[in-house]
Amino acid sequence: MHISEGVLNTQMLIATNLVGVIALSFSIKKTDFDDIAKTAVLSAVFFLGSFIHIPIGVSSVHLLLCGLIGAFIGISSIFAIFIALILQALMFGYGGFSTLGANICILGSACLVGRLIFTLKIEKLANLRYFLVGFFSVLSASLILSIILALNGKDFLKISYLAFASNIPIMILEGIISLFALKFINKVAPKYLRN
Amino acid sequence: MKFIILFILAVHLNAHSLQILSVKDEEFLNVKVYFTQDIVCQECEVKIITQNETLTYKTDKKGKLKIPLHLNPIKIIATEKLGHKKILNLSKEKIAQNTQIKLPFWLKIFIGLFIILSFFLGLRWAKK
Repeated sequence: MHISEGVLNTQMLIATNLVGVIALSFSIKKTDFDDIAKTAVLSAVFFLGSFIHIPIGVSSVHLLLCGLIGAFIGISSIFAIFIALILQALMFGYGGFSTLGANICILGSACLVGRLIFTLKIEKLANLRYFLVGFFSVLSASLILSIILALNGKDFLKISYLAFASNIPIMILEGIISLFALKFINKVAPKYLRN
Repeated sequence: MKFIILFILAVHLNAHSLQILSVKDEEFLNVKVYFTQDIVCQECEVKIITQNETLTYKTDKKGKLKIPLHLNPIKIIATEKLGHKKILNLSKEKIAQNTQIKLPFWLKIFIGLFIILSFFLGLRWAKK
């Protein structure tokens, strides 16, 4: 789901980094520093989650866990993801420094969508809501990724379709993970989901 | 929270960035394009830049490719279908070397986690 170094053109880099900086500043401003441990743990979860690889055909996709992260910490998730993205780029060459803004846009939106779905007041359909937290977060990330690639030039149009299509299994998988994880946490430690 | 951490640790962890390994023998430069040792980049486009021209090849099912040494390749650009890309500038020192950082994968993961947790703890301490 990360965009690698050297993929985006200059205009896209400037635009996405600008949006990324604004989103990150807002996230840092809104972060509750008394509850920073939760942000730290979820940053680590994202860092690890991106290495869980699922081979699909000749390619492979990886977990995001953005829906879960967003459900836990809301807007602070952008800050958490930013730190993890820097380390992934630095230590594994995964993503890149110039594309940090684009990756923040993609993954940050996924977290915020996850949070939005999680806060919907549908108590009777809690299980469906938990599933949709994961499902829609990956859906939104895939959409933003595809839009960025499509806007990057005609050469990337086919790649943008392929990138979206290849993430469909991950949408379902993350939905199932979110369902079980949120159900379990809501049962044993619901306080972690309240903020 | 424990559930998530245990779940993640229980699943096999793999790196995702595209990597190129180039090893020279008498006649060929043997190139392997891969994500991890287990997941290779099958049928990936590989551009070989020589001093005079750019040649385009595809890796086989094992992510491998043989380049005749007489072409004198100076740069290899591998591109995967989803847009992952890796550029390897070949120099005498770099051929036959794995391009990954020498640290083991699991150690890099632990260092990364340590840095993340230390950063946020440091931030909390600074705020107080």
